[in-house]
Amino acid sequence: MARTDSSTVTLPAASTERPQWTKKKSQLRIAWGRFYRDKMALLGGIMIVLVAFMAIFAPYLSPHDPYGMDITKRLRPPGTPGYLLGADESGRDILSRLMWGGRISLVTAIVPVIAAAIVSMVIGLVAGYYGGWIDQILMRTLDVFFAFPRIILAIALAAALGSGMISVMLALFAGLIPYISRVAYGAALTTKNLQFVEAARSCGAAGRQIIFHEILPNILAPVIVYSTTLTGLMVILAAGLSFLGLGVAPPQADWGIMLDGGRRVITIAPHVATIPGLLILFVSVAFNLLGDGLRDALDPRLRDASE
Amino acid sequence: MVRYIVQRLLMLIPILLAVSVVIFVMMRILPGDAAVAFAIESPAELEKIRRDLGLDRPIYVQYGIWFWGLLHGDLGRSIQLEKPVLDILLPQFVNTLILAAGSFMLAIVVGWSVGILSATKQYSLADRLAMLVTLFGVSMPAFWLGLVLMWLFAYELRWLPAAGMYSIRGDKTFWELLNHLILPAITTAAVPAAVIARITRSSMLETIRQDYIRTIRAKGLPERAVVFKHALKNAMPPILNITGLQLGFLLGGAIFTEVIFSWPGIGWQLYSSISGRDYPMVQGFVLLTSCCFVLVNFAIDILTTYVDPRVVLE
Amino acid sequence: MARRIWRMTWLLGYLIVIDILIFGAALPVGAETPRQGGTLVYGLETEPGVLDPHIFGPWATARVVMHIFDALVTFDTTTGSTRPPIVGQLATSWDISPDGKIYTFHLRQGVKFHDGTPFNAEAVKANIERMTDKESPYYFERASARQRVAWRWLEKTEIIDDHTIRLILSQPFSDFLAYLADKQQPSAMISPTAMKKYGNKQIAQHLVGAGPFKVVEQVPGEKVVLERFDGYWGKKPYLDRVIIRPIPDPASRVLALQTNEVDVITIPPPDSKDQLIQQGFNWMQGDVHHIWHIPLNLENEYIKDKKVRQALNYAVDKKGMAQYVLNNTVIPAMHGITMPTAPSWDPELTVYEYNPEKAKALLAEAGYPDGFKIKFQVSTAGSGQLLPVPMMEYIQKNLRDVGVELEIDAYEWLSYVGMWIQGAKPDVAGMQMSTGRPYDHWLSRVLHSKNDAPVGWNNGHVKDPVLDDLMDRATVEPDAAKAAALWKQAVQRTAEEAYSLTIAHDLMPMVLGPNVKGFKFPHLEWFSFRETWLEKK
Repeated sequence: MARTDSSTVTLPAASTERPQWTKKKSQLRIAWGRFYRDKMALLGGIMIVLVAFMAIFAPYLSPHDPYGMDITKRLRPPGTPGYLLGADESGRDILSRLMWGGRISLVTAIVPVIAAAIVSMVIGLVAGYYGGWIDQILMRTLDVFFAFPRIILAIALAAALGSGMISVMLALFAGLIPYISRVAYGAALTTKNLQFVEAARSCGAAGRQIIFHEILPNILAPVIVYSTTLTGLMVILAAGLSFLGLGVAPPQADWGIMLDGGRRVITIAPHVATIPGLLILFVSVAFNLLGDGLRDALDPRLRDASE
Repeated sequence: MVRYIVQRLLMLIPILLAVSVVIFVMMRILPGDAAVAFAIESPAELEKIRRDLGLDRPIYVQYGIWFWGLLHGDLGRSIQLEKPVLDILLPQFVNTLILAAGSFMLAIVVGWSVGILSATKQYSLADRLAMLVTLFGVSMPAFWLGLVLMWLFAYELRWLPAAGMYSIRGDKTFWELLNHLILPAITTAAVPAAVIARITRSSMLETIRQDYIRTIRAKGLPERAVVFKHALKNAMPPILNITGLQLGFLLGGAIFTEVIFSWPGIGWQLYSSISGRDYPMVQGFVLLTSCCFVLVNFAIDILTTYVDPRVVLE
Repeated sequence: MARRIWRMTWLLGYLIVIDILIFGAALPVGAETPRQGGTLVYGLETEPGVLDPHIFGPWATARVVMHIFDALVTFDTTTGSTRPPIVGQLATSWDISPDGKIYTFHLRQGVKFHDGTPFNAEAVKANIERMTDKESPYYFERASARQRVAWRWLEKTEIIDDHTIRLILSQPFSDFLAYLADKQQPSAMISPTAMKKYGNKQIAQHLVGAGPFKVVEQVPGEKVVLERFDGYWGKKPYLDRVIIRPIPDPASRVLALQTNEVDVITIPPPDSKDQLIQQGFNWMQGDVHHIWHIPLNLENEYIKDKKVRQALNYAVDKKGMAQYVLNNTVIPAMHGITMPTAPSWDPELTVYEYNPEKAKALLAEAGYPDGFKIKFQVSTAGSGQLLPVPMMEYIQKNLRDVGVELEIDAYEWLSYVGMWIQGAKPDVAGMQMSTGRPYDHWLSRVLHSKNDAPVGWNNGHVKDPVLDDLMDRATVEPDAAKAAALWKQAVQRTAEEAYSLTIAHDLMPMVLGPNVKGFKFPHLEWFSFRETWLEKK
């Protein structure tokens, strides 16, 4: 497939070399070493861990109840005593809401990606390995979903499924599958034709064995890299859906809803909308850095193509 | 080549058909329907209104009626606006195209320039700066950027207008349009420009490293010619591919921009129609956009094959 | 010395005369003279949608429709009175029979529709048939459904002569005229020639009325352009054009006003009040027929008990809500289930002042000393719904203080409306709604047992025979004063029984640019710019 969507991943050219992944343990250590030395990737990883930490331990860390309205403190700017990042349009502490909101924003972004990655790998493997009419059916069906720009598909699905975390996750999940499947499929096709697979088959290995032992390890790397980068996009998309009113419903709050609330008071108190957006930006940057770092660590040949 | 084109075109039809079914069903999963909006005043009349709107018939009958109309070029009538869907969507579609075209051009100009500059001056300060900026660019939430730009330039500085395509009072001049287009275009173009810049840079770098470039340089050709005449031409295919893909992203990204800047395009209308359960409008919208999207991707595939026959598609 | 004093006096006198001359010239001589011409741009808070007066949807669309169409009768919003009187528009006068069943309208002579068709009794009959007579060629099912309540008791329409028409009802209906004047526009008149020519489906693209403005252009999502109709029968508008621009986002709306893109906006975000006033804009707000409340569900196990309902009302700090959450763009609703501009409004009847101690005591009496959990449902936004979720969250906080745990269930507007008209389910304690009308029959539609959802608007399933009886008598009472007294009693009953958690009355804030003149606050949620003029900037 020539198309790899709006990401910075380019697939390695087909080679006859046996990919490094199959020499597992030591390879992992080498990959980790590479990753560790890549400062930017490390930075990305650390940022994500920090944000996740903040979200997971929100109940213990947040200075205020995220739903606690103190009307007299409405729209206070950052730096007001007790309200490090200021208060929003209902007098709630923005920092606390960011922490608690992170739980929703991160979960609605990460879970669909993981689920979609798993399902896509299955699809890609099956279609890629067996080929024939299974391949045609699966890929053609995916083509239908490719006909929609991703955002529009997400909006239509989220609207159809009603508001709430589950609907958003389902909408994102459905929107991700075509794209990750394509990557998995492409990688599976490439691997299938390599000599060592031929060798395994001629040794009498069953189809399923080949899929799991030979092909799967080789599609893991591109899928993981692609998925990581996509997670950043999903954080944005999930927030965007909430922003449009199609995501979680108030009084639950995630970063997108905070942005929407801040929109009304943008001329009076710009910090209410600006701060959550900034956080979304940084989380997205972090995932991109992480994705780049993973790509460089797992397969340096890919790095040459983009550095 | 011709056979390939025909093959692809034929495949489009079942895809679009499937798209139409999917969207038809999706809309009807939604609770509440357009009749509800009219029935607020007299809830007892809900069934009557539903009958009048044709919403009481079984779903396959409704689909059949709509599809039949489709074959005659009739996309049905909007329930909220009592006007043929096409009459409403086409002018708005044009508005979205204007926004998309403007953003696309901005993205290409900025993306390609930055990418080429970065590649030719690898590791310089400019390059590092560009990489940093594009990193933020690809991670940018468009709706946030739009809000910030609007606040800064339209409100605080009053340099640029905050909403709409034209000033409601002035004449519809080209300069008015351009003035109103600036902020929305920047908002929509941010991510694509960054993505294009990155792929341009990496593709150029890969090409420049090739042996034949070194040979040409050794021959004594001026750097400019090396870059633009030889390297760029060969770096083009992946650049074109990704650039084309951005068009799809643009179509989607335009929705947020349209909502924030009240740009009277098709994205804004989609939002409004979903809220109003205006089925014919949503169906028409999705069909139109998907058609467009599929055709554009198709054109890009053809273009890519044309530019570099080495790229094997499917 | 004497000379110096004399000179000083002279100088002083001289200065005084000069001052008088200067100030005198600057003082406005009476009212300013209206200026002819100009285009007013109005930033509307929602896309108006279809402008057919008999079927249009959003509340705000009425403000556009009222420029294009005149009706038999209307509320006169130009007086600035808080109880806009009903006046004739296309009807000059009317006689009502003593038994209240026969209305004879005398129609205005010399009126022409925008397309030149003369206005007469035939035209009125055609319009009424559109909404009531299945056999008529003009009949429009959707219009009939929409206008059902107004024409509910109409039995016969008789043309007496070219300019007299008689409407015969099967029973007296004290608010009949009010309904005809209502924003729903049941008595708006469309040119029968146009109706015949275009049919019900196409008429929306070719609107022909008899109002002071005609439609030039309508682009969905962008604008509606109206132009003065020089053949108008009444006082011709000063404005050449009115352009309505839908700007659903409140922040953009304010911005558009501040950058002079529009001249008038409605429903600005309450927080922008101080800033806009400081910048010299004209912020107007006042009593209108509006109430934001939570009709309580009498089929819910807790709400069944009157003491619980009363406790809930005592528990909410309505004054605080008005002040802090809505920046005083509303007044607290503490006078029963009615509205400031309704005839039954009694400012003396003040109930349920904020008293959390009393609330706790009542709850204990009802058998819930430790409180309980309930659920309210609300929309996330909607036409006229103020700020539903922040308001609910404020209520949640108040209720928590008296031991009641409130769960808030929020839905997108249209889904919510679909649910709301089905009525509240037993596990839901109340479904918020924001609404109102300038006449009292509204109360019957909301609380009469006959109108139990899903048939009518009685979302909380209130079945109170005492209330029903009062409302029934008030509905058919031909004498206006007696009817108002009966409605007052009905409202008192609703207050005692606390059938709803009444929270606030919107004051319909609107903001006008400093150059917009001649507009008085209409005290009605719908109005037009017929008498407005623009000063040169």
